[in-house]
This record gives sequence, C-alpha cells and structure tokens, in this order.
Amino acid sequence: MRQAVVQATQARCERRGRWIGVAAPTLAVALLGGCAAGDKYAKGQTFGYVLASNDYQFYQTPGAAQECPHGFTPNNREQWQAQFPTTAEQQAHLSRCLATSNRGPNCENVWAAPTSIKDPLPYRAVEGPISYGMDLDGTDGAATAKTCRHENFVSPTGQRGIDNQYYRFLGCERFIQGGQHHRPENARKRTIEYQVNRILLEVRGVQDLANDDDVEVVIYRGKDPLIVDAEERAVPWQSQAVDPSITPVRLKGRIANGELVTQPQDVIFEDVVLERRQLIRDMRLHLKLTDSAAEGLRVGYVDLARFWQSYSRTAKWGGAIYGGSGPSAYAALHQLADGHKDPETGRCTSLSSAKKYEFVRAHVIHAGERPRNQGKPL
Amino acid sequence: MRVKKLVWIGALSVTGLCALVAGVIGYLVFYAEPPVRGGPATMRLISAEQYRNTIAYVFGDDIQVDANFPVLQRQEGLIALGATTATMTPAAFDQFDRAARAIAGQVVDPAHRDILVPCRPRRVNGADPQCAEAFFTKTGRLLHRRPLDRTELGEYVQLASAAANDRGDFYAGLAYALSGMLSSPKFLYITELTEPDAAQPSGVKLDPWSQASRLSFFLWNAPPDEELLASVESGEFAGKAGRRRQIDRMLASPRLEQGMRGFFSDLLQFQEYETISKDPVIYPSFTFDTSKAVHEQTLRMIVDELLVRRGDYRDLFTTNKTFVNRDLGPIYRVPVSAAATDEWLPLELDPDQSAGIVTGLSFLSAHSHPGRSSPTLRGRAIREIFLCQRLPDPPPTVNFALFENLTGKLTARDRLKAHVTDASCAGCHKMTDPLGLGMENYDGAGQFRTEENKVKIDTSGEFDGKPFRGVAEVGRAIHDHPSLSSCLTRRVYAYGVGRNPGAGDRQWLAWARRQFATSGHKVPELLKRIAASDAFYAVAPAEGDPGQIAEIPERVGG
Repeated sequence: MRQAVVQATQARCERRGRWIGVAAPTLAVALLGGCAAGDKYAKGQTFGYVLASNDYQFYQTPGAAQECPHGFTPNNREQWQAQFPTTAEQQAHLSRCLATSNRGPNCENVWAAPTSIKDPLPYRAVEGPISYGMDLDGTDGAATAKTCRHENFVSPTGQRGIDNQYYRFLGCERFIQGGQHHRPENARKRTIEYQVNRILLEVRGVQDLANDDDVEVVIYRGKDPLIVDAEERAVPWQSQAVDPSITPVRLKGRIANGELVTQPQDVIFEDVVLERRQLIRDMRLHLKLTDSAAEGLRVGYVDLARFWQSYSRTAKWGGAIYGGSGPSAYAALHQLADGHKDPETGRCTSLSSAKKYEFVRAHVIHAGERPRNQGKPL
Repeated sequence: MRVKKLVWIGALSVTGLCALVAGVIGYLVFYAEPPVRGGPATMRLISAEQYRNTIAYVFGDDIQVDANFPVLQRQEGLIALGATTATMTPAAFDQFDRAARAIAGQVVDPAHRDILVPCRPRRVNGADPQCAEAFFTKTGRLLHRRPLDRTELGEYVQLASAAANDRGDFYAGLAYALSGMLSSPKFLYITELTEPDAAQPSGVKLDPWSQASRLSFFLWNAPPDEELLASVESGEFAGKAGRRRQIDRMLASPRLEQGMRGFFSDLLQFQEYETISKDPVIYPSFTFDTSKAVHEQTLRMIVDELLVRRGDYRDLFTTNKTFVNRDLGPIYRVPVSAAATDEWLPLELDPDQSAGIVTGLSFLSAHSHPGRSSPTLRGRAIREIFLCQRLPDPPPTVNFALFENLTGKLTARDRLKAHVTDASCAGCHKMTDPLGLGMENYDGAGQFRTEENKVKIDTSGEFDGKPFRGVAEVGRAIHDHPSLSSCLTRRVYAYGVGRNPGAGDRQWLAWARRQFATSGHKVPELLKRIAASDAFYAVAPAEGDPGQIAEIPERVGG
C-alpha cells in the first residue's frame, strides 16, 4: 500500500515537473525541491476538500446600531452634495466636470486620484467593540516594530485581542450593511457561480487527523462545477479535478485537537467583487476538521495597494450609492492599516482580516491521474 | 436356442422401441415448441422511447424531440401491455401534434433538407408533386412501417402541394404534410393487421409487415429498418430461414442495446420513478442530478452484464460491477476521474456489500421513502418485479399510528415489529419485510451504512425458506429462486406479444423457460428463442378465445 502511495506521488512529481518545466523553469526548481529530495508527506494519508462557501466575517447588529452608531459611510453623491451644497454650485460643477465623481480641483476623478481633494464628510468606520476574527499580532493594539496602533476587538464569544481592521474599514458601508451581499446563501451562491472560488485543498502526510505536528497543505484551483444539493449546499465526497494551468500553493501546517493551522505565508487569492487578485500577507488557515468537512477562518493581512486597485474600481460604479467615497476611503484605509509597517515610512501597508471558509470533503483528481482507489469506497 | 434368440431379439426390439418413444417424447417435451393459439392482434400506442428511436432512425439523431408524452398505465407489471389499451386524450394528442410540427420543421430546415429530402424541387416557391411523392414514398414507408398505398400517398402529396402553393414554399408544404403524417394514427399506433391463413389453428395470421414490426419493436424498441422492410417486400421474411437471418442480424446489431434498455426500463418501472426526490437535509449527497443518473447506472449494469459479458441473467443479482459518474461519486464516496456528467466509469463494489441491480441506486432510492429506507417497499418490489408475485395493497383500515411512534425504535427492524404483531398486516409483511431488512445496510438514498441511529444493523433473515445474512446473501437467494427465470421469461414474452400470457401459453412458457435455462440463462438467447418461435407471431380472434381468459397471477401473502 505504502509503495503504491509513493509511486503515485513520484508520478505526480514527474507530471508536475513536466508542466512547470515548460512554463517556468526557475520556479520549477523551487517547487520540485520537495520531490527530488523525496516527498515525506507521501507517507501519511491525504485528505481532500473543496470550498463550499466563503465570506468575510462582518459582525452585524440590527440597524447597525452597535457597529455604526453615527450612520453609514457617506457615499460619493453625499460627499458631492456636501462639497457643492447649493443647486447652482452642483449644476456648475456638473457642467464643468460632467460627473459627480470628478470632484478634484481640475475635475480629477476621485477614485483615480483620491488625494486630489479631501472629502467634506468623515469616513464612517466601525465603532462597535465586537468582531469575528483572531488575534494576529499578540498585542493590545499598541504599535510595534511591525504593526501600527489600532483598536482591538472582542470576539462574540468574549475572546480579547481580535484584529480585524478590514471589517473596521468596510463594516459601515451600505453594501455591507443594507444589501444581501453577505447573507450565507449568497456567499454559497458566489462560491458556486464563480470558478475562481473553486479552491481545493489537500492536507497531506497526515498520520493522525486529530493531532499531527507536520502536515503539508496544498491549495489548488479546481476546474469542475461544484455539485450542490437542492439548497445549494456543496455535497461532500464529490470529485474535483485540479486545473493544471494554475500553480498550486504549498503550506506547512500542523493539526492540534482536530484543528488544522498553517504557518503564515503570503498567498494571492482570486475572487470576485472586492478581491480580484488579492495578496493576503501572512495568510493562515485555521480549520476544524470533521469527517466530512473543514470549517474555520482564513486570517491574514490584506495588502493595501492591491486592495485599493480592486476597491476603487468596484466602488467607481457602485460607490455612488452603496460604497464610500474615494478620498475619504483612501485616507481611512491608510489610517486603519495595522500590519506590515514600512520601516522607511513608518506607515502600515496592510489590514488585518478574517474570512470564513467552509470546505467539504472531496476527492481531488490530478490531471491525467486515474485515482488509485477508484472503485473502492474510502 | 432359436427361442432364446427370438426372446433376445424381441427384448432388444422392445427396448429400442421404448428408447425411441422416450426420445421422441423427450424431444417433444424439451425441444419441440408447443403450439400456441395466440391472442388478438394489437394496436399499441407508441411509447416515448419508441417515438424518439423512430425519429432518430428515420431523420437522424440531431432532430430534437421535445415533448411530454402521455404516461401510460402499467398492466401486469409492464407499460408495454398498458400501451395496447391506451386511448388518445386531447391533451396527449396536443403533445404529439406539437412534437410533429417541431420535427417536421427541423426536417425541412436548410440544415437538413438536402440530406433528408431525396430530391431538389423544380421550384421552391410552390408545389412540386413529383419531389413530394419521392419524399413521402421513402419517409412514409419508414413511419408507417409498411409501404403507403396509392391512395395514402396521393393524399399526402396533394396535401403538401396545396400547402406549398398556399404558402409559396415547397418545403413549408412538405413540413405541413409531414406533421400530418407524424400525427396520424398509422404512425402513433403500432397497428397489427391480420390475413387469412388456413394453416393456422385460428385461421388467421399477422400480415408480414405486422410481423416485422412486432419483431423490431421487441428487439430494438424501434420500427423495422430498411433491410427488414426489404426482406418483407422480397418475401424472404415469410420463410423460416429468411426470418432467422433477420433475427440473427438484429441480435448482432448495436441497436439491440436500445431494445434491452427499453425492456428493462419498463420492467424496473423507471417511468414511475422518473424523478426521485430525497430530503436534502437527511441525504445531502442525493441531488437532483443524482436522481437523473440512477436509471442510467442500472441500465449500464444490465447492458454490461447481459450483452457485453454475455452473462447469466441471474448474475444481475450477485454482480459487484457497476458504473459511476461525477454525480454518483458522492453516494459511494469514491473518486471519479470523469470530466463530465455523461462520462461513466466502471466501479467494483465490495462483493459483500453488493447484490447487483437490487443494490443499484435506482432500485434502492426508488423503493424507499424520501427520508428513510423502506424494507417493505424493497421486499415488495423484489417479489413483484423479479418474481412475478403479486401482493395486495395495504388495507384501508391500516393504523399507521403504530409506525409513527418511533420512541425507542432506533432501527427499521424495531419499527417494523408492529407489522408482525398486527394480524391484518402480518400476512403480507412476512413476505416483504425480511427481504428488505436484509438490505438495510443501504439507506434511503442508497448509501452504505452499518449502523442506524448508532445501533448496529441486523441484516439476517429468511427468504422463502433460505436463511441469509447481509445483502450479498439476499442477492444470492434471489439468484437461486426458482421463480426468477420463469418470471423473466413470462415478462419478456408478454412485452413482445403485447398481451398478458393466458392459460393457453402455459406449456409454451414452461418450454421457453427450459430453453432459457439450457442456454445458461443468456438473455439474448431467450430473445432469439422467442423471436424465432411460432408463438411470437401467433394471433387469434379475441372473441371466444379460451387463451384470453386471464391467468390468475401467482399470489402470495394475505
């Protein structure tokens, strides 16, 4: 049996070598290092998963009374009305600059040039004390060599020291609070519909699914549609083929008391809406493993520069009503940043975040592979 | 000395004569086909599959047939028998009419007309009777399953010409008349005609076109093809050798699979369980797509075992070989390296967990409740479908409260104990429940389990005097049941001749069952034996025919 596993792994290493070798020889050397030295994770069991639902963790109360006591984040139109309070001023501005978002001194678009003016109304960040997430920096919010001063949250279950500045930034925007975007069924629907969400995991080298000090976690992109039930919940034990054109991400991890925790690593995730190609710095997975699922958080720091690219593009068309306004949002974003302090400027370049991940067990099928256990129930 | 010699000679002669008589009797009993008077010629409403198969053969696979055809009443275990008494309701005709118009439109559209119309009209903006006649001569022969006579042909040509002139479009006229042909009783009803024959006990026989249709729908679930019609036309089919040649050709054709699928879809009651739904909370792995795939899985098992492997029919109840696609993978928890839903891969189950088609997902899920398994439904289905036994429906006075109180009843065996203790239930449930309880390792969605509500499932029981433990032994008990092969023989014969076998068919059925056993229970051999028999084509007037007195089915239970 063990021999079969090793052979399968060797075959996979060879296949990987073929396609990576063609695409990027230098990268291949790095990725194949593990194969050449012998794949130690092939000795244990491999558990596969497919992403069933994912969404950022936003703690919400009825009417946003607790988290946004001073109301929602002013949108571009409200800022425009505040900037040009009279009808005559508004008409004059539109005649000259054509659109409400072209509010810079020389009609600059405030999403493209967010520092061209200062918004008259303040940005409304979350003020409530409670948030989902984890303690990422181990501080009470005071600045350190690597982090900036920020206010910690308390988790809904009372855990202190929660870092989630991403929530603090976005939590009072109308599209978060008022819309349907973050309802669980919509999160599932997005996961089903968008192929970028076909995230597959393999937890490799597992000796004991409850406790194991050294496992490897590989993140793949799947290419199959998600098999779902009548309520659009992903069906466990489905088969999902790996998209070989996407480079997999390999993480080190451990399992403690049934919880998988990976070591921090910078990873780029693709998504829709606000996260086209987001760099999550020091990304960690914290997933509770059960017989048929893995659920928990993807925590880490959202890179500001990449986030602004997505946010400004998205808000440009939705921001007139549902989002914030370029200048105040840009300023708030940099003010709230709490991670990855630039040693030269002393300013932070990322936002702590927490995203809920729900996986179901799946058979991860690699390109050209006929599963060795096909036909034998696991 | 001479006397002694004469005694010896006499004794040897008597022995030889006895042996000869015994041989003749043996031949007559075992090999010679007993005579059958036959039933009335039938008039069967075409089934949805037969309709689709016809259109695919005559016009090609790419002609879409999009209609909800009427659901036919099952009689004596077969829809094929219900088709002989089906009436055409206005709603059903509406569906046929819509399908006919859609098909006719596709046949003459620019993408198909050059292939399907055997001539070019002299002008496209009006009638061309000669070209229309060429089209309807060819197409009408295939759709009517016999050549059109001059009157019929003339009517279609006239209809097409009038419509073409009226619309200024030759092809529109052709489509108009073709849709009429596709809606006509001569197409929608597979009508058998008889002709006098003094050599037959009944004085009549099926005409050769009707014989060819009966044969073709039996083996292919489709109308006669060009070659079979040509054989009838040339008179070859009327002779035994010519008919056998056609039967051998049809049995060797890939279209036999389509015929086998038609028969087993009917036998296994797929029409009634076309969309099986399960409670998604209890059975999240059983999705809408699963319900669409389960019938295909069973049909693939059957085709593989009976046609590809040329296996023993009884092995369908013991084989562990099945097929799986992406949608069925989660039920078995197996990886499926298939790229698409319509890609199927072979799957070998644990032999201890398999009983062939009765552990196929279509059987397990159909004969269960939406939220739990049902040993009663499963046991009843096995007896009725595969053993031709008939069990009565529950009495109207049954007290279901006995079974709804689930307190402390963690397994199906606990819950069904009430059946045995209640006298009004016990008679039937003693027949059904033990069999079904032996299959309790499969839940209502067809997923394997060893426990129910954390209690180990007891799968022991007895089936008509044969003890078993576990589903594989249930399958073996079905395999060995004496009624299994006689039931299939009866069903296949009834499916072919379109009537429930009567008292006059008993001897013939016993003969056919023996032949089936001698062949190693090979279903293609059974088909061949039936198709080549005189009984298959025998017809007799309905009135006063003793053979039409319905046979009382084997009845078991209270």
